[in-house]
Amino acid sequence: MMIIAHEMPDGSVKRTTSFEPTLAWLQAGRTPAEVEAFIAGQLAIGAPLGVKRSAILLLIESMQDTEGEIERRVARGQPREIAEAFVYAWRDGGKTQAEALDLIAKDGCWTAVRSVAMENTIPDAIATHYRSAFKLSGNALGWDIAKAREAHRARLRELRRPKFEPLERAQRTALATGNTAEAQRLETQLQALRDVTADPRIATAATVEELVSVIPDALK
Amino acid sequence: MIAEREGSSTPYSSGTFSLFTPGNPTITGTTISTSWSNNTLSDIATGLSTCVLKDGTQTITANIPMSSFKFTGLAAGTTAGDSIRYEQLLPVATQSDQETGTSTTAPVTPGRQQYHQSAAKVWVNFTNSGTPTIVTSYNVTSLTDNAQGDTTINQTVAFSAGTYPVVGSANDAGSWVQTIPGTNARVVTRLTATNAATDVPCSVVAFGDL
Repeated sequence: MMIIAHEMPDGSVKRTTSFEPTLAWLQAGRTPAEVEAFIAGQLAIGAPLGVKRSAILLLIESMQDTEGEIERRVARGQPREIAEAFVYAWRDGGKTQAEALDLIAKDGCWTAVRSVAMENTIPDAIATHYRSAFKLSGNALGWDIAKAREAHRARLRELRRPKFEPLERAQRTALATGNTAEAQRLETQLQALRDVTADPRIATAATVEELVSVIPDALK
Repeated sequence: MIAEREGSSTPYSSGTFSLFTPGNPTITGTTISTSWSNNTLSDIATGLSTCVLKDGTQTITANIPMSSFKFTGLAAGTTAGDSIRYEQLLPVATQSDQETGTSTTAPVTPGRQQYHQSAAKVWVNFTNSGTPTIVTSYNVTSLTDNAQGDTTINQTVAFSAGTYPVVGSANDAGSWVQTIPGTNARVVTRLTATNAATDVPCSVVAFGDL
């Protein structure tokens, strides 16, 4: 899947995804009749079009009022040159892939410092926990390792959260029945859970891949 | 060219009346016979009986091909089954009519229905296992992945104001959806147990003025 990564003014990174139909449209510049054939053709080859025919037809209708749409976009804060560029391109098509991706990037996240289109090479299983640590390094999506460590600690906190309650309940029972040995054993387990975010391997991990594998025994 | 009839009981062929033969047309010296007279007059009677009469006493028995001609000077239709005058045709609702939503006479066409305030202006079903991905959508160009569970729905035609209602539903047990109205709808999916933002599949519908 192709994505556009946006470097925001605060250094964080957002991504624009699922823009394939938009990309196709900006490149195509088709008449309504051609659009019908286009949709049918895309569906026939199983293209991941996240759109319905009725939606495309709405777009045709909407884009007939290009000036009105530009003004609506400007009114909500989008710079006029971006609003004009996107709306006219949407209406007229005929863009190269690079031009279309640039328009999508500006339309999807026009407050970005810069935007880069790329293949999504980061597995979702990693992205889901660590994307607050995304960083644009040149034209590639990389990691801010300090932010990744914080993201990992947050992940460990989520993992330990459900383990606290049964241990604390068992400890209260042990204390109530005078079983101090059991209470002490449970306290040791609880302390291990409290300490998972202080695992020294977190601070020394040099890559996100290393961080992902740092799961203290108390959480296993 | 209509062929002359000989002894037929039907004086019409393709809608053209033709006189009975033999005996027609008459020529000087022709003796008037009962067969000529009776057959000719019988045909004329049959012909008149199949004409459309201006006093409305005839009943039409088949469709009438008008061959691109019009009925003119019609009275206005008043009840079911009546014909209607051209000016009785109602102008179809425009986008503005739909957005205003007050007309109780303008008929609505499929291409304008979506502009009524009661119609959903945006809907999307998307998966999210780390990268939000559209499954199917309406009036959506792309998604912006703001953070874990936090997704902006980039609308092709944005709302005219950021105050319109957004409705979201997590397609996953144990989660709920925080909706954030804006000119582009935004949602944050969260775990029910902790309220922590989390990636789950989600469906979103929004209403308002485009």
